[in-house]
Amino acid sequence: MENNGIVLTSRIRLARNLKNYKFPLKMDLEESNKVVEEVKNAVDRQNLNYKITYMRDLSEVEKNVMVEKHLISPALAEKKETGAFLLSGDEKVSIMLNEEDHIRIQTLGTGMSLKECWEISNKIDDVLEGEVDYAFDRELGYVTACPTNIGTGMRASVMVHLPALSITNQIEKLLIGISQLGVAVRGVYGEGTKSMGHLYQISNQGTLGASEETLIDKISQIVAQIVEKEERMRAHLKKNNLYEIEDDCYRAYGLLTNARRMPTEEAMKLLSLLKLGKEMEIIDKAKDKDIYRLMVKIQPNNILSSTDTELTGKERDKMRAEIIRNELLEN
Amino acid sequence: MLCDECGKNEAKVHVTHILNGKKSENHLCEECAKKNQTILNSNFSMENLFSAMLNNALNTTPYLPAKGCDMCGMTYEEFKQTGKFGCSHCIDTFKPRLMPVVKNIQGHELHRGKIPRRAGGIYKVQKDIEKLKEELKSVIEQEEYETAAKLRDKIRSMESNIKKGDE
Repeated sequence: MENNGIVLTSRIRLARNLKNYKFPLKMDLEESNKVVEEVKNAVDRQNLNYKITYMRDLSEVEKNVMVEKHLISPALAEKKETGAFLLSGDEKVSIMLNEEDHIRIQTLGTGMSLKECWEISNKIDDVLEGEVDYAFDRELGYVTACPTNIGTGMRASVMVHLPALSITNQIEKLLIGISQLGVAVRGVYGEGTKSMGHLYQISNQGTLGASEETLIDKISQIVAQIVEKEERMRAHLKKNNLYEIEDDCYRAYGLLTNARRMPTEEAMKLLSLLKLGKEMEIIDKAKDKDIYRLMVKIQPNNILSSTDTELTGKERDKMRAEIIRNELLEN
Repeated sequence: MLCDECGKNEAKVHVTHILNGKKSENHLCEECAKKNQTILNSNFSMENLFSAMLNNALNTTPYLPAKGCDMCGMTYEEFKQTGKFGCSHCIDTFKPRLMPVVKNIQGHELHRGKIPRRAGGIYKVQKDIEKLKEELKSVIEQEEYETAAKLRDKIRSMESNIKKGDE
């Protein structure tokens, strides 16, 4: 699929468990350490370029930055004593340990790259499986802590940016429609179906009864349809509401480059409009700027981590406005 | 707007649910919202959904005495509440009651995806053993004791191989 800025990232996550240890819900500290050690040793023996990080060694802010960058899950960040993760040198693969399952292999890719992510995950999975004993059931496949992940243990998700469908209030209808196809949709930052910055995550709901490739094909097809709808809506806006949409995008740019105080939600909304304007070629500002990267950079914990001093909410909003102005105005 | 739950306080928490294409809204006051964590759980939790489904399934299946898992001690009651297994043995412990629910959630009841090479190898051998056992039954019925003895030895050796590989 052509990368038109609508599909931002792809992710494959495989849930795996070791046969001979209790699952994280039931395990004690000693057992959880053994699981970490066993997987770490397996990776070390294969001379893979992975670095281990223990949750207990990270501050709250450091953990949350990892979450905002999607390198680890919020659930792993909460495993203060028992959690750990192995991160590949290129930061594409993260093997989370003792989250809900013993092992969660997550591979991140840019644009629509589910197939590539699956290939990478699959290889790492083969390597681990050669070294440790996985829990596998002949009927139900890979045994996971939660029956909603059983079978392939695979969640394939794609992050999409849908501003045109959002500002025209078409998104809710679309979400209802695709929720009937066995696909889950949620906002990326923010909660529930409400999304910040018009970013949505689309993933497979079922994990059993189909092969990994089939599940990936299904998600890819649905995403392709959503992208087409977003593109059509953009074309429609350009044809029928150019004046209004131009005004919206330039106002967003004006605020982003001048405001002295920028709360997260407002910043996300304005950046989303700027990104839309750039992609629709109706605004010639902020050329060559990676707006999505900026969206990640201005998340609360990413801002906190960029300074040594403690910030109040007010100071954070001030700093966010500064970061955005600097990024957008620098040559 | 007043709270849907108590009807006394003003509703301050508004939750929209979209499930299988059906939209429903809840308007709760802060107090009731706190009590009602299931509705509120923000990371649209499949576990909660699953737990609710399990409860439904349990209401329609006759109650069996609670038998805990031999490895982690989890009981069915506990599993029903958390919606999660405690270890890899739980799946066998709860399988009879689990299958209808799995089918309900997943829409399927048989894995068709990747099979791990090592664990999968055992799986293949197990399948072969089952075939041989059926063969054994039929040769015994036909009173071919010599063939039966050969089959029995073969099954035994295959089973002991699996055990060795297991350790």
